Amino acid sequence: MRWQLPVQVAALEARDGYVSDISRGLRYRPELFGEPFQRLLQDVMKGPSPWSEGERELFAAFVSAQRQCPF
Amino acid sequence: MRPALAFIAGNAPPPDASAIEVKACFDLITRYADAIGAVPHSEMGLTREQAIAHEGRFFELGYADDYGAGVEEGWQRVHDAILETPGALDPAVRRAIYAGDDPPELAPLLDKVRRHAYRITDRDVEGLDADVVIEAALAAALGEALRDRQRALEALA
Repeated sequence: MRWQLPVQVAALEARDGYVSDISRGLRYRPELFGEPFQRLLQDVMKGPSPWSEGERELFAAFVSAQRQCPF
Repeated sequence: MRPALAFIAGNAPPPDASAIEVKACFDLITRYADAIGAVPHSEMGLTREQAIAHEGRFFELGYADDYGAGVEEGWQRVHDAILETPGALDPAVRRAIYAGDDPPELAPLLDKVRRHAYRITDRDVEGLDADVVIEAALAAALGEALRDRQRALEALA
């Protein structure tokens, strides 16, 4: 990340030993994006679906690869 | 039979909206990750095992403390949060970006967000306020993701 992030990220980093940038991005101003988006992700990735959780993770990885995004 | 096995066997189940929702979510998050210059694990000096352990927590623990109120309402909440939460950019500007009408000073960056976010470099955000970049990129990425989602859902109907 190119800019200063909230103190909570430092706490997370202390807990896990490190924190990924995308995790920081989700925790930065959570009311703007991270909080509602992660709640939606929980529904989409783990809610009712004919596809297993693992299959949905594979779809996600495929979309990331299509976008040439390493996440 | 599991859908994936049925697909491989040439006996695919009817197309399902839940796969479209996965794509829409990751259309949004990947553009955001690229816009904020997130560094991938492979460039953070982590071992493969460390990277898998870190990202695997989503698979094991979930993405949030609890489920939302369903996908439609979830998208509405994400939409409202990105476009209406008070911030650096006026909500009217964010709504315009969402619809594809960009302020001139942000247009080159947002064109990259929409078309090929992985090409965004530090030079693209030079001199811009970080919150402006975040809010504008999220609005543009949301617009793209939801328009694609809508087209796909209509094709299924």
